[in-house]
Amino acid sequence: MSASLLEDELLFLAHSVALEQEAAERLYELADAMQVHNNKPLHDLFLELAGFSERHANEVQVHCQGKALPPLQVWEYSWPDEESPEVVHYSRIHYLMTPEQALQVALEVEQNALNFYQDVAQRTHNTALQQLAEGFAREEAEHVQAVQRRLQFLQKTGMNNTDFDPPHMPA
Amino acid sequence: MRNLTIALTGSGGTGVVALGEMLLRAAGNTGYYGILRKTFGPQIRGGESAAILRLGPQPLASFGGEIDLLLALDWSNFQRFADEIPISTSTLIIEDTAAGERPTQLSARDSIKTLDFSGLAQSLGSAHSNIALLGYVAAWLNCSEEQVKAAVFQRLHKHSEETVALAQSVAAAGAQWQRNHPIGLSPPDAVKQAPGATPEHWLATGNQLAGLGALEAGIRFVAAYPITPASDALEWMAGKIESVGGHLVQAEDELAAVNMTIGAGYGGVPAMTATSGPGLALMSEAMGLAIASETPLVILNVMRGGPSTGIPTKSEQSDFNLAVYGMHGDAPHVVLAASSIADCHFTMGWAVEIASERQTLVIVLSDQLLGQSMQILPPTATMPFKASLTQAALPPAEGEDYFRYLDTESGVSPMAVPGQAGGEYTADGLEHSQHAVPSARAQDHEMQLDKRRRKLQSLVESSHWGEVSRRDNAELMILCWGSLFPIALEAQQRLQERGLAVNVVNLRLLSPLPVVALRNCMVGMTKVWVMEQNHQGQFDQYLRSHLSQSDCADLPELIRYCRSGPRLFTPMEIVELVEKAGGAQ
Amino acid sequence: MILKAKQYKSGVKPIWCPGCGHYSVLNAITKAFAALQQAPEQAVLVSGIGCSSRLPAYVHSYGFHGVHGRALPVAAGLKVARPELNVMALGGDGDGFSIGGNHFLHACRRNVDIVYVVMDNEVYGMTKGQASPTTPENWDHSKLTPHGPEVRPFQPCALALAAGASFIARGHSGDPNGLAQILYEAVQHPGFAFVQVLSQCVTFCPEQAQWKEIVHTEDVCTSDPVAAASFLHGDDGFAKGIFYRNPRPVWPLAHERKEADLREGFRL
Repeated sequence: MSASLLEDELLFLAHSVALEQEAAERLYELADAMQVHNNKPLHDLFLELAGFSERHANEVQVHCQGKALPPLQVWEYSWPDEESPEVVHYSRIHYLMTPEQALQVALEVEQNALNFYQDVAQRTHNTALQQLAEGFAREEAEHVQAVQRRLQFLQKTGMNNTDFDPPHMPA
Repeated sequence: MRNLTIALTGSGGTGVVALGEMLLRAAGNTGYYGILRKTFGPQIRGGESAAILRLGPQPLASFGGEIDLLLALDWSNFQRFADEIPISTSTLIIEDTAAGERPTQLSARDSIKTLDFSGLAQSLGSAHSNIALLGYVAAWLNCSEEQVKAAVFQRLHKHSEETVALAQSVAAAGAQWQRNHPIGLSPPDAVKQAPGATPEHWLATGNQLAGLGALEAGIRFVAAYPITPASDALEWMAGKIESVGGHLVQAEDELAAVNMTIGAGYGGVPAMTATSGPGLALMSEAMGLAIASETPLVILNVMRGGPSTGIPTKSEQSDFNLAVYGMHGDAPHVVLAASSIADCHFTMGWAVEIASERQTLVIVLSDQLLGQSMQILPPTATMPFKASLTQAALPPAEGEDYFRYLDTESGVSPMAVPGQAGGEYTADGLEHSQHAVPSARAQDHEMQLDKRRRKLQSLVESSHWGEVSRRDNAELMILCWGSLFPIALEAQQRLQERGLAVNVVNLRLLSPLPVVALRNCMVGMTKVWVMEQNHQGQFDQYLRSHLSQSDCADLPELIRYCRSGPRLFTPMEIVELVEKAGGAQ
Repeated sequence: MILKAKQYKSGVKPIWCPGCGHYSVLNAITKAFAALQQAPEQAVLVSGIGCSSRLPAYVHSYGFHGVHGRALPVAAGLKVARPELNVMALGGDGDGFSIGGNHFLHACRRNVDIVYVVMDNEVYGMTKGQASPTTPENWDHSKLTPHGPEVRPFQPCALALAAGASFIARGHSGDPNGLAQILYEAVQHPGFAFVQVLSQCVTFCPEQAQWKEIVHTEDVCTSDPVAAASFLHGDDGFAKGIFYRNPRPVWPLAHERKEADLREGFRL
């Protein structure tokens, strides 16, 4: 994480907006992919999660009103990893994944976002930025809990999703 | 109206093809019309070759078949094309002293004259016996020294002045020699006003005129891979296309060539490739792509002997099936055939216009005979055709969808080209919906197949479908296509002189087949010979499959007459064929 | 009006398996277009056949989805005929290095100003999991090659260098933002720009999920072909970055246009 991100409120806001928007866009994309692959429960779930993310993105946007955020190219963001923390990485996705598995992944990325905001809040010397980051972290913490509650409910149901139509038969 | 045919044979660099070209030019500037056919062995340099030159007082678009005068600079490997040079007892033969051993079939002939052209050239310090022969024959044709000099210069002007001057003096010596060693045959009849004396006459090959037709109709992009006998069409275009703002790309193979051409056509730039049988076979997958994606594509296919490598340097009409049927899936497209050297210009132009107007593939069939023969002929008429995307889409209104593959009444859909805002679409070889989105639905497939067939159907109503040469009271008919047409016309003329009336019908539009027009031509006919230069009667089979779908009640007797190349059809064999059958009536 | 990355999506939903790396490449392209503020009507994406070759339909621009292996010739013909367009060819490793291998070599050599993106997942996905020219020699998961292909995989970047490519880079589907930057540079490079993308196949090669751990960024960009060759031959195949950038004259070269009468030269 770059030093300027930790001190520059506008730069931090730009990151927050991108974090939330990219999370929502990825979830919408996954919802579409699940729809094309006829996995309705997952389509519905990703759509629902995408809706949450989008609402959150809008909430972040509220903090940006009247502020000129720096225009960054996508590769100029200073993320802890290659992609922004809240996007679901493609390598975690499978067309037969269960809602339980999907929620597990969703939980991880919400936790990543929470960690990101907490990390900024702890390390910054800028009080206004600290308050912002703490606020975003609180919201992410609520998301984490919400996903956890969903997961607990699902885990009771359990489901075997072994792929009986595997792509090929390993030798 | 006497014309004569002269065969020149040689090998090992004797330069008989160059000799033929120089003679044709000198003769054209003296008082003759003429046509020159070139036939080559497979060697790159020094192979056996022959030039057949026909000269006379009227425009000549075909070869008569009979050889009046055979001039042999070299007999070696004469057997390889002996079939294509039918020597009869009336053929006058002159050989060079250095020509070597005579072919066995001539061993009984005692009338062969031996002249020392090579010695004459050597005495002047030149190894070019063909130039001595040029002067000799040109003098017999009453060409002036200036005409011969000019013809030599035209051919050799890239060489040093000394080389040109020496060749001109060897030619002059050959001319002088003619007075002491007359040929013993009177020259063909000549016209008073030499064709070359006015700007109204050209010397051109079919390949060159196909190239001219393509560029004049608007072709601005060519991609191709070298192949005999299409390369010289490409070479001609390469030298010209940049002057009209276009590009010619020598591709890495035919697959690249045709796909590059499709890329340019998709971009809205009229584009073509040229090839011969093996190349056309390689292109067949992409031809289906042009049809499915509805991208304009023109392919000039200059046919040679097949299958496989076949006989690359010699003529045949055996790519018919490949051109008409050679695609996977139901792939309606257009196949045209050029019917003479001059017609290569017209037919290419028509092809360019059809391809752009109907967003489809048009294959033009020519062959080695048309492509590489050289003719004295009037300048081709102004190009009547022009590439145009008549259905180009206007950007759709705000919020309106653009349907690239719209199911229209004509079958032609609005085609946007890159650069047009609002027209963005993905052209696809995958079956697609009207909206250009890939679709595997039966309904979309049927709609698009219907549409692609429908848009070609009105072509059969075009007056350019073919040419009909009628004779009063004729009940016999010759049906042909491509390079056979001029030969059939000459046969028709000879038959008329013998009191037999025959109609000749030539097809320019091979696919879709103009069945109604053909049936109309057959009304009142008793016999129709279907002629083509291939082994199986490919066109005849196709014709019958179409006619059997129409009312067969009053069909005349259809007689298949076909033969593989490279032995050309002769007017006389057609005369004999028709006389035999006609006399039996 | 500023266009955002998602506005470069056509709205057609991809048929790719959920989790496929190609989604990432699609996002990288739309992000690069947003960075370039590419006019959609001036861009053409040309592809062949294969999973990755479906991509043009998903982008809001012009597109051409041709036959297997021939994206590069279509793209080159289009670019030569319409030089003002931004033409990008794309496809997979089978399309580009096997059936279309000859075109790849000649495109590198010819240096027409196009970008070529190969989404390399070391497998034929659309035909259900056969070995491709970049499959590891011992990969025995295909019924078609039960012992594995038993031939060494191509090294596409080294091949491109040997064939004369003037821009060579490698990206990874796990890093769409980094890939967007590479594409942004590739589009602006005058001449043929080759971008290999390690794009995981979640279905036939699930083990490629591990690529994320193996891929490493290398800041080695050079204009020296000897240095590039040295790097590429020592490369483990998982370095990412722009490796080579050496602009040279773009084909077709400009020639003075001489007006000429087409009918000249036929006079007898």
